Amino acid sequence: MSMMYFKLMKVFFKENLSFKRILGTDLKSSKTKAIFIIFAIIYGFGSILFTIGLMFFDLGKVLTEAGMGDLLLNFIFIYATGLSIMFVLFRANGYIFHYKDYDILEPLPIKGKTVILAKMTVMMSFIYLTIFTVSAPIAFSYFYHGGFDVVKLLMMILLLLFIPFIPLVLFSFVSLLIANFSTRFRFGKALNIILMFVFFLGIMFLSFSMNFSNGNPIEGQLGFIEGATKYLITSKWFTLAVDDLNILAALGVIGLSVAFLTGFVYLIQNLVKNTNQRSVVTRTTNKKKVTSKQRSILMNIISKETKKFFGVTIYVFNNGFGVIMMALAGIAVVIFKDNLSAFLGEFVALGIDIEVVLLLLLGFLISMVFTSAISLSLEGKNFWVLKSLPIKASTVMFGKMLFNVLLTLPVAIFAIFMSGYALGLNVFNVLIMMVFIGSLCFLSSGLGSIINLHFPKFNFVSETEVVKQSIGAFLGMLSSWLILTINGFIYYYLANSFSFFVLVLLLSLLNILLFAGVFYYIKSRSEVIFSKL
Amino acid sequence: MICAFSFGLFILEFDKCIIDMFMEGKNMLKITNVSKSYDQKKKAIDGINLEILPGDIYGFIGHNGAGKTTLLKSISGILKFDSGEITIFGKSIEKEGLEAKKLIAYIPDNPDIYDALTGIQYLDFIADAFAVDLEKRRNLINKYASMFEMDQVLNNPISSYSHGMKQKIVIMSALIHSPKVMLLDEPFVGLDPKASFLLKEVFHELVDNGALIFFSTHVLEVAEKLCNKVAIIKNGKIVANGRTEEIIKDQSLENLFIELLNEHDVL
Repeated sequence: MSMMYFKLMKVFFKENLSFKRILGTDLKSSKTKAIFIIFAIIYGFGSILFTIGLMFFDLGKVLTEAGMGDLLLNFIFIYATGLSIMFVLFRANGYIFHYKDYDILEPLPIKGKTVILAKMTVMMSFIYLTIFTVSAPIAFSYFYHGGFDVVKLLMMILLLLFIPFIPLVLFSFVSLLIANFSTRFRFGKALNIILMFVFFLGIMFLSFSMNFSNGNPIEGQLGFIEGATKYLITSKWFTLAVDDLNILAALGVIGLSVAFLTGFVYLIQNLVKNTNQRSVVTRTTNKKKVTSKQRSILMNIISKETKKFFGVTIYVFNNGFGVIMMALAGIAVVIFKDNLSAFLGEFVALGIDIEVVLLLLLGFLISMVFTSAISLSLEGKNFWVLKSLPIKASTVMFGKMLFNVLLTLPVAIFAIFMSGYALGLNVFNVLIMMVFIGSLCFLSSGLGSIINLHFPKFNFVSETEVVKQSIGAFLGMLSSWLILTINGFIYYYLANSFSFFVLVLLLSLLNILLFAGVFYYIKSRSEVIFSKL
Repeated sequence: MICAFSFGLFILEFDKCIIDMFMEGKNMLKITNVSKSYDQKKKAIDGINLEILPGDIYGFIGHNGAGKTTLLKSISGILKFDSGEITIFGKSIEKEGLEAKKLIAYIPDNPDIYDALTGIQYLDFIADAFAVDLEKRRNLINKYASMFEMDQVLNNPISSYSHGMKQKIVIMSALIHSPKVMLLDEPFVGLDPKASFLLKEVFHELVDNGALIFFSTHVLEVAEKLCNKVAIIKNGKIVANGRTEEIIKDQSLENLFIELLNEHDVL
C-alpha cells in the first residue's frame, strides 16, 4: 500500500471526522456546549447499548439454556450486514461514484485505486463504528452466558472487520443505480423515495413479529435470522469460526470478503472515473410560461422548506418515516380492527387505557419528525440569503417550526380520527387526544427550533451529515422523547385523581404553556442568535 | 452678470453643505471606525472609515484576506462587527437592521442559492421579502431576464444552472427591488463578457437613479475604468481612499496597488 494512501486517509479523516464536521460546532469555543454535547453523546450511546443489551441479555439466557447460544452470532452477522447495507445504500454514491472533490483529486498524480481505497476506508470507518456499537451488547450476552474466551473475542473482532466487504461491493452498485435513476427521470426522485420506504418497511415487516405478549421484540426476529442464515454461507462460516474457533471457516470469510473487495477495487476504476466525470444532469424541459406569485414571507419560508424537504431523499426518508408510519397506522387500524382490539384488550386488562397506548405510540412517531431541529443547519451555504434579506429571524424560525407542525399534525389527527372510528372511542376523548397531540407537535417543533438555533451545523458536504449525524438531529429527537416522558410520568402519578379527559386536558394546557415560553424565546432571541451565526 | 451667477453658485454650494451637516450621513453609506476580529487576536478589519454617496461607483481593492468580504458582509448585516457603526441612509445596520436591509442588495462572491427552487421561485421569494408589488416585479423580471438571456430558463430548477447562470439570477434578484445601496463581492467573476458589459451598464443606470454601488474586485482595470472612487484595503486597514484620478494620479492603479502592498510587506 502506497504512502499516498495514508496521506489521503489523513486528509479525508480530517475532512470527515473532525468534531467540528460531525457536530457542527467547535468544542473549544464553549465549555458548556462541549459538556452538553459529550453528555448527550454518552446518553445516546448508553441508551442504545442499554436497550439492545437488555433485550439480548434476556434472549441470550434463553438461547444458551436451550443450547442455541450460537444463534447470537447469527444476530451479530445479520445486524452487521444489514447496517452495512443501509449505510452503503445511502453513502456509497457520494463516497465512490460522485465524490465532490473529484476535480481536486483527479488532476493529481495519484493512482485511481489509491483514491478509491482511501475513500472506501473513510466510509468503512463509519460502518465499523456503527456495527461495533450494535454488536457489543450482543457479544456481551454471548460471552456472559456461554463463557468468556479471549480467542473467540479476538476472532469475532477480526471477522467483523471483513463482514461489511461483500455488502459494500454488492450494494454500492444499487446505490449508484438509485442515484442515476433519480436524476435521469422527472419523477425519479419521488419514485426513489417511495421505493426506499417500501424497502425499509418490508425489512421491518420481515424482521419484527408483532408478538408483544412475549415482551421481547427481538424474539420475533429469531425466525427471520434463522431463515436468512440458511442461505448465507458466510454467516455459517462466521458462526463456526467464532463458536468452534474453526480456522478454515475464518479463512473462508476473510478470503471471500477480500476477493470481493479486491475485484471490486480493480474492476470499478473506470466506472468511478466515468461516473465522476459525468456531472449530474437534471432534466430541464420545462416550457411552462413564467409566472410570478406574491405571497407572505411566512408562506414563502414554508414553501421553501417543503421544496427542500422533498428535494433531499435522505431528509424525506429520515424525517418522513414517522409521518408515513402514522398514516399507515391510521389505515391499518381500520383494516385490522379485530386483531388490534384483541391486542389492545391486553392493555385494558392491565388497567391501561387504549387512548394512553395510542397517545404514546403517536407521540413516539411524532418524535421521529424533527425538521425544525435541523432545517436551519440545512441552509448551509445558502444562509447568507436569509441573513441579508429584510426578514425577521423569528419569522424564519417560525416558518421552519410551522413546516414541522404541518408535516406532522394533519397525519396525526387523521390517525387519531381513524383509531377513534375503528375502536369506537368516546368522541370527547378523541377530541382531547387531538388537542394533546396538537400541543405536543407545537412544543416539540418549537423546542427543535431552539435546539437548531443553538446547535447549527452549516459546514457540511452532504445533507446526510445534518439529517443523520448532527447534534441538532440527535437533540431534536431526544427533546421530544423527554416531553413525552414527562407527560407520561405526570399521567402515571395523577391517573387515579382525574379522569382521562381532564388529565389529558391538563397535560395539553401544560404543553401549551411550555410552548408559549418556547414561542417567546424564539421571538425575542432569534435575532441576537442569528447575528452571531 | 458673472458676479450674480457666481453668487448663485456659492449659495447653492452653501445650501448643500448645510443640508449635509443636518443630514449627518442620512444620504449615504457611512462606515465609522468599524473593526472585526474572528479570533479576538488579529483584526480582519481595523478601524475602517468610509463615506459612499449616491451616484458613487466605489471600487474596493485589496489582496486576498485583506478584509474585503468581511467589510461587505458587515455592511449587509450578514456578519456582526465588534465596534464602530455602519449606517445606510441614516439607518444603523445594527440597531435598525430590517429598515437598513430594505435599502440594500448584496451579491456574494459565490452564488450559493436554493437549488431546490426554480429561478422564478427564487426571484419571487426575494421580491416578497422586499414587498415588491406584482406588476413592478413582473416588469423588472422581464427586463432583466431578457437582458441577461435568462428568460428561457426561469422555470428550470436552480440546480440545473451553471455557475454563470446562478450568478445572473443572483444579480437579477438584487435588482428586483431597485436598491439604493448595491454591495457586490467580486461581481464579475464567472460572468461571460456580454453579461459583464451589461452589469456595468446596469451600474450606470442605478447610479443615474440615485443609488450607490460598492464592490470588491481583483480586476484593477475594471476598477480604474468603471469607478469614480476607490478604496484600497491592506491587512484590514484602508491605506488609500478617494477619487480614482486623485488616487492613481499619473500612474496605473496596478502600479499603485503593488507599491502600496510592497510598502507593508504583504507581497
